[in-house]
This record gives sequence, structure tokens and C-alpha cells, in this order.
Amino acid sequence: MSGSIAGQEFPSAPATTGAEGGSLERRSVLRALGLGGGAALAATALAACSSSRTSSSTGSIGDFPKTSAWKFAFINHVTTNSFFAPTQSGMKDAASLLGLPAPTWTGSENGVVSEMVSAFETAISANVAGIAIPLTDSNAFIAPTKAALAAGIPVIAYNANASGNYALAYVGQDLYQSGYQMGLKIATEVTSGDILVGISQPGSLNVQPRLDGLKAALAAKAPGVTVHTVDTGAAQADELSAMESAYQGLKAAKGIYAVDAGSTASIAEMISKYGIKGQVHAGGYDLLADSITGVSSGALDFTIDQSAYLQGFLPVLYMFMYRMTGTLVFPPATDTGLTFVTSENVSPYASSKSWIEGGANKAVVPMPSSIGLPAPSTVQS
Amino acid sequence: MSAPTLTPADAPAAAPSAGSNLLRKLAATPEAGVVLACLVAFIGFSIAAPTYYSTDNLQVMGRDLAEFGILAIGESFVILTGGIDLSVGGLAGFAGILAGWFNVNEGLPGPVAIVLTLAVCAAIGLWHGTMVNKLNVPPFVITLVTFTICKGLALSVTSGTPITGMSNIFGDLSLYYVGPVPVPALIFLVVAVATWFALERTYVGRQIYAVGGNAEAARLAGIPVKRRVTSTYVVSSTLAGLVGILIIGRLGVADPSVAASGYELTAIAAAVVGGVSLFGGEGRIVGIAAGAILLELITNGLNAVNVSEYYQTVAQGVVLGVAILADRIRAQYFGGSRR
Repeated sequence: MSGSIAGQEFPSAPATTGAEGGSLERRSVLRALGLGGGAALAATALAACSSSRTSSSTGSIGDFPKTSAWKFAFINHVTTNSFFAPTQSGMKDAASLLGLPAPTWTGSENGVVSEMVSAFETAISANVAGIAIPLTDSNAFIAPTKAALAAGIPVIAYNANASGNYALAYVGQDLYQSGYQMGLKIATEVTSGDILVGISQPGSLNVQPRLDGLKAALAAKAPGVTVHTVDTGAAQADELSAMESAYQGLKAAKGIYAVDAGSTASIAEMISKYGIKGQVHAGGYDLLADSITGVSSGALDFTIDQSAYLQGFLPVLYMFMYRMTGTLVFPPATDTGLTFVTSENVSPYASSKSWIEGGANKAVVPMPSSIGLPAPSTVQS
Repeated sequence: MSAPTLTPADAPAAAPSAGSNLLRKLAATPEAGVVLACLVAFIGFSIAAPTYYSTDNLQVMGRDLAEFGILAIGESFVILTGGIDLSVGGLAGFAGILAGWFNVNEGLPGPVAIVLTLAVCAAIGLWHGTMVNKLNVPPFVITLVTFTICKGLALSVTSGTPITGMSNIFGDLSLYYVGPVPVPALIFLVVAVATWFALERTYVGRQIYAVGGNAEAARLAGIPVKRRVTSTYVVSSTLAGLVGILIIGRLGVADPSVAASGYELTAIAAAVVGGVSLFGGEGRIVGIAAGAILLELITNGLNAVNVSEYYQTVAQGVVLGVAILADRIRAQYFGGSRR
């Protein structure tokens, strides 16, 4: 079948043959997990499912046993933020792939923890099949997580993690490490003077660790740099004005950076607006349209891709496997990556407009003729 | 002196039967529309999502309701005098931070931290009343100022990082049950009954209605208008403080994000849906409570039936619009009209 997987969710692709077309055996699932690869598990499940879509029976996908139509719930801290559009696509695609109803997407629009807790409790009381949540607070979600687990509802953290919580796994970027890497990159561009760093919600565990890592790296590698943090707020509309105000107050800043998606996009917009491209270093996170345009135009030196899509896709797969195997397949912690998108590799991001990255295009993105070398492996064998 | 809404509606000229007379009487009650809407919403969502009426979900709704229901009651006090209090959401958030700070950073026992927090909130209400009465600052403006300051203070006091390690009393207040009923829901009930008694069964309460109905007439009648107005701001701010304390108990941390929750608009919406006139002088606690319950039923119900987050706000607006429209039509045909 070269048509779309799950009917509508995936783009048509040229027919593939060989191992990718094979069916999924439990042995192969376990092998995939044994390798510790969330991506491998995802690929294996995808392969199995792609061969099985001729079956129209609900709840029986690939060679998996029949299951109930498990409905998962995704709690989020900024439900209408465009950063999470790919995450929503990912969770829906995965659910569709597995023959499950689309997960619920709920929580808070403005990062209000009490609203997230309420949504969490509502999901538990609705007896959903699994809950995925960004643990943006270190304490507030402990009690609901315990309650969910006690009720037999698996909980997976995505996008933000908190030590001391009991989520089965974390699917997302290693936030502190990504901030540290960003700090190291900044240190190669700015060695002294002031820089502005926007943060949407100071203290929130989805962004604060990045800022902490960034500061630590600069303290180690460029101690002459003074970091001025800018609280830009959770609402995207306010972030541009916050960054503009900060820049007006510190025009001598040698760099303007951000540790969240909306603030990064606003920096790109601001640099174009004030015509200061090339006069100030800039960079940040995620792949909002303005950020990609900013990297393409040279307004931003870089933006960091953390694969928002996988943060929706993988938790659904993990919760499905966990339920289906009666907890035997324990969800693996998965780092969804740290890719610096720069002028050198921005082209496919800018041109594809893929739904995987929040665009509207659901076509297959063509493979490049050659693949650039990623960062060398640091795994000890 | 009696409040307009406390005046019995005109009886129908002729009652064909005892049954229809009762129905007409019920329909003429200003709160009938919102109570009916509550019933319809509850039944509708229960049919659509069986878990909606489960004990667990009702408990969740009970805790939610306590938060903005109490805010709505406090807000209504101010609206009854013709004012508005935009600070309640920010103040609730700040009160939570303040209580956590007193308890953790200053080492004060939990009960003392709570009392101090409520005292600070009451003082803020007193400040509002003073500004409105003495300097004629519009309530909208002075409470917006407080909202902004509170939101900023919640962040600056904590540097954005939640306060942890608070006394167990906060959690006890928010997470315990009496039978199957969450303690916050009981607190909401106590607040509702107490404020009902204060507003509708005491001399002072009736004076508040009178001030909202016609301040000049009330002044000429010898009512201490300024004192009554100030007292409503004190009630509103103190109840906002109480809500802040309940929220941090539920979360287990004092989180500054609560200050930016937008609860003030929910509280105002609950009050208006419950029949409180924005011009002052009209509205009853039973209606306000029903308005808060309706909002909670809708909010939770939309989640239960999996309405997309992108459409939930629209859906809430539409449902509220229909509820208000139906109530206006009811008022036109059966009396009990409001301004």
C-alpha cells in the first residue's frame, strides 16, 4: 500500500519493500526497546502498521492483539501556543496509526499550574487510558501523578520534566544540557559585554533549566558576558513588546537570545523591524515560522530544534505499548534531540512547510542527496 | 429598605391552577434561568460523557468551583454597589505567594501565615475603598493597578520559582474530604450561606443593595454609603486571599503563575450570569452560586466531551450567550426583569 497510513494522517509515499514492510512481532518490539531506542520502537511500530491498514477492524492494528479504543489525554501548559501544533499532529498521527481515538488536548492557555492540575484531575476522573503532561512545576503534579498511577493510568512527562515526580518516562529535550550547549555556542560569538535573554515563564521547568544551563556555560567559557534576563510572558502576543522594551533599554547589547519559542520568534521579528541584522548576535529555540525566516534571512544565527512532533507522537506509542503489554514494555526516557538550525541547514525547514514542523503541507519531504554528519557519538561501548 | 431583587415579583392576575401558578412563579424568579441552565448542562454532559457525573469528577468540579465561586461571590459584593474589582485574580495569586512566603521564608506557623495573608488582603480592599471614596478613583482603574502590582509581586518575590515546603495545613484545607465532599467545596458552601445571610437577612446587607440601586437616595436616607462601599472591597479582597490559600494547598506549592490566571474575568462572568447587574443593586447569592456552578459545569463538560481547546472558549461564550439570552426572554415574559 503506497497510500496514506491510517487513511488520512500520513502523506502518500513511494511504496517501500523489504524489511520495512514486515509485520511486527513482539520479539522485535522487545528488541527495539532493548536497544533503548524510542525512535527504533516508533519505526518498528510504523513499519508494522504500514502493512496492516487493509484491516478495517477497530482496535486490531498490525499483529497487535485487539485492544480497547484507548483514549489518552495530553495536558499542556500553553494549549494554544503554535509551538505545540506539531505535538498535536504527532499525538493524533500516532493514535490514528494505532487505531485509537484522537487524544484529548487540554490544560492551560497561559501556563497556570492550577488549571493544569485541574485538567489532570479531570482526566483521572474520566479514567483515560494514559496521561502525558509537561511537568512545568516540581511539586504541583506529584499528587495527581500518584493518583493516576494508583488508578492504573500511566503518566508520561513530555517537553518538561521534574525531579521527584513519578512519571514513567520523559520524552523531550534534555533542557539543561540544551541550554548549556546554547551557552557554549554563544560563547563563541560573544566573549564580553551584555546580552539579553528572553524567557517566557521564569521558574517554569520547561524553560528555566535552559536558562540555567546557558548561564553556567557562559560563566565557564565567557565570564565577561553579563546576562540580562527578560520575562516575556506566556502569551505570544506580549513577547515581542517585552523584547522590544528590553532592547530599547539596553541597545548596547551584543546579543539577543531567548530560551523559548515565542520569544525567539519575536527576536527575529524585532531584528528585522529595527534593521539591526548583522549588528547583533541572536538565537533561540524552536521552529516557529518567524524563527525559520529569521535564520534564513540572517537575523538569527541559529534556532534549536527539539522535535515537537515526536513529543506528541512517542508518548502515545509508549502508553499504548505499556498498556498492551501489561507494563512489560516500560516506556524509555527519550531525548528528542538538540539540532542547531543555522543558515547551513535551514533550507528544508524553510521550504517544506511540513506538518511535522507545524506547517500545512502533508506531503513527504524529499530526502537530501547526502546527509550531513551529526555530532560525533559520545556513547561508550 | 429592601433591595429590588428582594421585592417579590408581581403576582399574576389570575392563576388557572395551582400547578401552573407554581410554574409561573418559578419562571418569574430571576435565578430560574441559570438554575435551569445548570440542570440542562449537567444532564446533557452526563449523557455525552458517562464519567462526567462520577464521584471523582464531581470532586474535581467541587474544588474548581470553590476557587472561582468564592471569587465570584466576593466580586459580586463590589458589583452590587455599582463598582468592579479587577484585582481578584492577581490578588489570589499574590495571596498564595504571600502565605507561602510567610510560612516558608519567615518561618511563621501555617495558621499565622493564613491570618496574616487574609489581613493583608483585607487591607488592600480597604485601600481600594479609600481610593474610590476619597479620591473618586474609578474602581476599574484602582483595581487594575492592584492586579498589575500583584501579578508583578508574585513573580518578583519568588523570582519565578515556586515556593515549596509549606505547612501541611494548606494541603489539609484543600485536599481533604468530609465524606465524599472536598473541604474547599464545603468552604464555598459556608461562604455562600454566610454572605447570603449578610446580604439578604441583615440591615447592612440591604444597605449595600440600596447603595448600588441609588447611591444618592441611600445617602439621603442616612446610609453610610462610603463605609458600605469600602466594606464590599474588603470582602472581595479577603475572599480573593482565601482563594489564593486554597489554590496553593491544592498545588502543594505557591506558584506565581496563578496571578496571571485570568480568574477575575471568570468571577465577573459568573456573577453576571448569576443575575448580578453591572449597574449595581441587583443580584442574589443563590444566582451567583448558580452562575459559578454553570461555568464550572460547562468548562469541565467541554473537556469531558473532548471539545478542542481551540474551540472551547468559543463554545463557552456561545453557551453563556444562550443562557443569558434565554434568561432575558424569560424575564421579559415572566417579569423579574433586570437592568
